[in-house]
Amino acid sequence: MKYFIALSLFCFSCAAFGQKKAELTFNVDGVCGMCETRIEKAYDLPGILNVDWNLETKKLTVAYKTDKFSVEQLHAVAARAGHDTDIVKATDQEYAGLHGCCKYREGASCGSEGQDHDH
Amino acid sequence: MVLRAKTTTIDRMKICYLAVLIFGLGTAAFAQTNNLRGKVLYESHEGHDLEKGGVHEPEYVSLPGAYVRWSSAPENVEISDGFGFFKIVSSYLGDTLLVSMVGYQTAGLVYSGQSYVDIPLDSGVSLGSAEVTAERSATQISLLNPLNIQSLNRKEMAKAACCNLSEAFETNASVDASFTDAVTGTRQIRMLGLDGKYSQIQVDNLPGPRGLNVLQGLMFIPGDWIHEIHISKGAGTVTQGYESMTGQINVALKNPENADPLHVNIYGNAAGRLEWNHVSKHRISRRWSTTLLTHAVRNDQLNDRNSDGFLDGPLKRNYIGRSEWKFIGDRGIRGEYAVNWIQTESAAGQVAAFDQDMPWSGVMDLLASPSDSGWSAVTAIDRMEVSAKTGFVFPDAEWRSIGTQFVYSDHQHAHQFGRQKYTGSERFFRGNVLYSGILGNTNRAFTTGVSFVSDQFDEKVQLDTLSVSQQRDEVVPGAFFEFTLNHADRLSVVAGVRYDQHNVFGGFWSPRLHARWSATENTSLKLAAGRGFRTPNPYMEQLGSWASQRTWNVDVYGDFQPEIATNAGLNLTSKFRLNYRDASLALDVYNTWFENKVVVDLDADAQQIRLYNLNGESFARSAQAEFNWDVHRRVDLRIAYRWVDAQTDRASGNPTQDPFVSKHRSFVQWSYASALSEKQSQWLADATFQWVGAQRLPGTEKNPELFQRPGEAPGFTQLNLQATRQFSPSFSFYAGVENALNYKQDRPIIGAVYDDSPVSASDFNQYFDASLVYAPIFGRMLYAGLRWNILPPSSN
Repeated sequence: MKYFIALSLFCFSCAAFGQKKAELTFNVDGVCGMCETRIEKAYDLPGILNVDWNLETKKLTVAYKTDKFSVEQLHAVAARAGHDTDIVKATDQEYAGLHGCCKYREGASCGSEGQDHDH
Repeated sequence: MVLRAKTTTIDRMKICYLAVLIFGLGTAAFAQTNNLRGKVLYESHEGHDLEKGGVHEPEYVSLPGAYVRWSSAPENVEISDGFGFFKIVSSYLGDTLLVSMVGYQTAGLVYSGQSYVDIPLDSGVSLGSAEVTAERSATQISLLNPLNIQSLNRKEMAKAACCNLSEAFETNASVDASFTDAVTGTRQIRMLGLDGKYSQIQVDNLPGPRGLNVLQGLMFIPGDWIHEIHISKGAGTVTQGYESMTGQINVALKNPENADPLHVNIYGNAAGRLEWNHVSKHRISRRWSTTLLTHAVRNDQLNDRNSDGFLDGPLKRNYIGRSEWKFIGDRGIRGEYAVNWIQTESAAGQVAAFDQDMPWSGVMDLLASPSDSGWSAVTAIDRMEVSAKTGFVFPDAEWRSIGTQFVYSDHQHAHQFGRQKYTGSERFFRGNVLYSGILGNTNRAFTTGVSFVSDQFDEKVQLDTLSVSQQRDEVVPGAFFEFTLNHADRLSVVAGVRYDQHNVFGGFWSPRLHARWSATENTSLKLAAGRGFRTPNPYMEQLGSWASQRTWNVDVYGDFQPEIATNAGLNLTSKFRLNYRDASLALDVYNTWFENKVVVDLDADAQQIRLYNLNGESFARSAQAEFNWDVHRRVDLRIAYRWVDAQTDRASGNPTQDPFVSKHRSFVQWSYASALSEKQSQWLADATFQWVGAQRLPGTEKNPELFQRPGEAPGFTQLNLQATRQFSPSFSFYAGVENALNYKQDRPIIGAVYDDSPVSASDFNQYFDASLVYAPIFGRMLYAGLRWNILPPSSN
């Protein structure tokens, strides 16, 4: 039993003595589940605690360590993956790397109006 | 461990067909030449966590039964077929094609003259329920289901390279697993402090291990065949019979919908056990698909690591095969038909009974004529099962359905333990017909139906002193009704009752109640209460006692009565965020009271196993706390603790505390998964540290000192480690060590030679007892294996 108490205390103390952390929510453009996977995978970086992108609201919620990322850097992560945010746009080259059905600038939408990847 | 991948629960696809209107057919005939063809798809999240480590790469799967129509003529509805394909008469350019399906967002496509389109639907809206964010972690507890069900998926099962169902619960706090005895390697499970026989084990929602197969049946379900395990605590639903008391364990096997096209698993361990598993699926036609599953185990290695003259584990030849056929019809008919063959042979006992070069036929000869040179335990089991499930959903009302379930099994068991011989046969049939509908709206649903059980037993027991032959035919027709109420997503109640008329014991009512109340969006309180009964088969349920010189003192057959128990419990599950990452805490309290029980008394006499009907009180109380936390993007942590107090009144003066039940058990599991590389290769590591508290052991104080054992087994710790290297989603290699701290039970077999104190043949014949086992016998064990999906997942 001692082991378990010790271990759980250890875990909680890690959490308590960590650096400053914050959570930020901003818009990231995207259209489908593939976009969601791509965006969330882009944030698989040291200093990112958690990330979630909501397909319906287009909102990205990211928890991060403030000494590792600035707000601009966080926006840039999505843009480098090809997805525009409120303040950082993806370059044409980065955008070109997206799958056909994810080309949100052309109004593509998996399952809605555009069916670019079908023909 | 991984980035949060948010999915919305997709309720099981419901095939809902509208009768094609005569009007529509007329139009089709009129403009036959100009058709738009296409396919409706949805994004599948099923079964891909293992390969991809939980990151969702969407895979599009065909969606049958979706409505396809033009917005200009919404009355002409076409329906996608079993492959998701549809054909619709072309409309004018600029018209919008609408594709809809219950549980999915409607998609609209502006027509620009194409002849073929693929239309993926988003599973945005789930049926009636609030949107549930389902982190695809390895173990999931639903906040919405009124039943307290814990689901373990393939990812969880891959954490411990379990070989079969009996070994699959090492990392689960709700189910305890232990050995029945120190020689045969048979494992048994306990739920809520009571033997596995008091829980109902199902395979694909049909009766699983029960009757004479209740213990060994767990070994006949290979781990690699399992898609998911659902563990439900409490009495469970009435629709599946009267036998559940402490819980239900439903094992969902891989089927044509979720199996990989061709999957192979090979496993080997230091004890000499070699295993082969294979799963393949094949599409026969548009409506029929099939899965073939095979499993083989072989162990020819004579292990005696503790030098007590007994094999630490059995020699084995097991062959198991299953063929499943699935039918998806056009008019709401679905069917699943399966055949299972099981042939197993195993031998254990004193090393002296076996020659090193003995052919397998020589080993099995010991079944008929045991060797004079040593004590042996030889078992042969042949079993065949057939099952058929057919369901029909009414085309005009998808909430109405009829289902039939039929299962038949033929079980033949023979064993010879020392000079004691047993043969048993069981022929079991169950038919179940269910009708589901609603009362007014879908918030008030019901299921009702009738069932019929026929169970024929024929057992022969030849002990030194007596020879008993018993036949028993049970015929149990029954009827049940279950009502489900949902109120504003905050409250749901499942209340059911069933009545069964047993040909021997008369009528029996089983009321069951499950309720769920969501205090907040992330906290739910569940209540379960219910009553169940079962008929005991002591010779097979107390298999461990065969591995001893105990004589069977079965008063119970003079006055054979069913075991009846009532169970009630509460569960509180809360999901929250800790350090910005998902965490959950589940607290359980359950209590089981017996009205009657076949009491197993090993304390009255160390040379006897006494069985008698309960005279007095018997109960089991349990409490459990489980904490799960996604500590880090790559690390998951689980900490669990459970407490059990199980007491049974035995014949006067004997201890009431149930033996072999540890009051305290606790474990910590730590899982790591590295980031997926470009090629989706990954490292996975799991460590489980378990502590099992002290257990009471049956008294041996009347034996001579050499044959005595402590009345209480000490607590012990166990550490299991495993590392998996995934080279690609289709190929991974794993290696691990079980019981890394090398804990071994001290002198597990009474009558075996330890510390060079010789045991005479007559003492052995009087005092031998290998059934007092509480901990691992074998010590540290290394193993390795590989999983290979030879064919890639089928592309749609």
